[in-house]
Amino acid sequence: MPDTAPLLLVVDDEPGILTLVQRFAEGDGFEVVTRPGGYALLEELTELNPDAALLDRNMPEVGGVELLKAIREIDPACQVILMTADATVESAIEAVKLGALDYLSKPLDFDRLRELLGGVRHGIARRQRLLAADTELATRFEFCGMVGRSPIMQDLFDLIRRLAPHARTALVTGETGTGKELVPRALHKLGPRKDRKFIAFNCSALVETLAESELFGHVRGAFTGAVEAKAGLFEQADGGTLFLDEIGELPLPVQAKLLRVIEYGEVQRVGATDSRKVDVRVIAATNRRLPEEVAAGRFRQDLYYRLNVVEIQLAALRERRDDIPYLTAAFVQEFAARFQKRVNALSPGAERLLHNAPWTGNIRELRNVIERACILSDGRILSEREVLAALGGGARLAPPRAAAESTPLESEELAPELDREMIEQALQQVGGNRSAAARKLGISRRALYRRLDTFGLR
Amino acid sequence: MTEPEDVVDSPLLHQLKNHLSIVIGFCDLLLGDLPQDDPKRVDIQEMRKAGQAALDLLPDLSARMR
Repeated sequence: MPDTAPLLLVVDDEPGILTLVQRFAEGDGFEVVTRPGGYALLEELTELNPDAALLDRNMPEVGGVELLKAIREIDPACQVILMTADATVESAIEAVKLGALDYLSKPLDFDRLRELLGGVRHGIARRQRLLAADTELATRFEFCGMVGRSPIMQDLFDLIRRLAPHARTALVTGETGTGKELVPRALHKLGPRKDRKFIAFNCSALVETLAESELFGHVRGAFTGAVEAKAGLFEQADGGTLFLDEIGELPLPVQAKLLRVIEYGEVQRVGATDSRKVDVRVIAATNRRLPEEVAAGRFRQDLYYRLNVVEIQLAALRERRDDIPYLTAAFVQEFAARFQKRVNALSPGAERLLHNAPWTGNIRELRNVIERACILSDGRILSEREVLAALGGGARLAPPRAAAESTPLESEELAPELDREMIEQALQQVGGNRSAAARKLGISRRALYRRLDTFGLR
Repeated sequence: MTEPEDVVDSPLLHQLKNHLSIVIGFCDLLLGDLPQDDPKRVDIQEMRKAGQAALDLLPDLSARMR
């Protein structure tokens, strides 16, 4: 993907310095935006979304340190350099503690600045290369719409390849969101019936009587409203594959009929006395534990044994975390294109969050999180802030507060509106370590404690 | 960060240092742009030297203002 120059924001109340740094940085391959500082800038920061910022420390209204805090909060991936005419060791340490990349004294040492900006540029390019490489790998390890480099997935692909030519029936099991619907399609595509019909049916979608007529068809006058005879899905799929999703939801009487069709290859339309021969490969899927359903009397044991001759079990995403980067890369590419965003990299923090999340909703959840994060993103690097907000179930991104009422901006005052869920999630992701959770949330430890108190989590 | 902490202790001195930084900065930019054998380099180097000399006077000035 061809990319534009990274954006450098330069803030100084002295116009001469702005011109000077702009001249220098543009010559060094940066796009440069200059601002004289002030409260107005705080509100503009989210929109500007620079990749790096060079800030004067001593400015009226909003000082460089406050600006640094605000930028770190909005986009932790943005690299900030402070500059000052009166550098002291103390102020330098403070700046670096707050996350500044470096602290330069005036007159500016251009060699040092060039080095720093070069580092920023390389950092961005590296993150972009990483995601591009992961996208590449995702394509290479894609198998019929499934992406997996992990041994567990490679084994699955192998199994599907081996089963596809032969299996007459199969049962696909796995938690919700693991992509069960992709397996039947793969079996169909790789099998001898690939040119015949593939029909998918969701067993939870219809009430018992309708499910029955939908699957097996009905004769004219079989029930009120059956004005025409109708072929069921089995007849329609004759010679091909019928995928029965959420088989665990199928009402018991229909289960009995289904078993007969599978066992004898004969289907009887509702209201008909004779039966017709069909040749259909039946692949069922469920996120329920069928043995438990059988024990509870909600699922026919004979049907279960008939189906699970071949059982294909899909791993939960947390059992194959190594695949998260490739899945992420594929989704980022998909949604960046769909929403016309320029995001083409992930910050290390965002990567960590995605790697460590519990993913109870599996790949579907990951996909939704990436979709939301891409919607929230304005820059080219997806940061932990967007990912955290997306993980928090669509918690909104709070813009930094209008500074008019808050002259000395404290980091807490600028903190985003963190809800209980986000805090709990952050804590969970770092194993309860509060310092780490605070860092993750981009607030001070003190601020975290205060919120813990507020939510009664302490 | 080589200077002692109290070198610049008034807004006036702070501004002076800022202005001198701009003078020196532009000299550096020009010197970076010009080819090594450009005759104008010598002039610019003189300007830079003077700017730096003024900058070096600041600690003294600061001490006398006490």
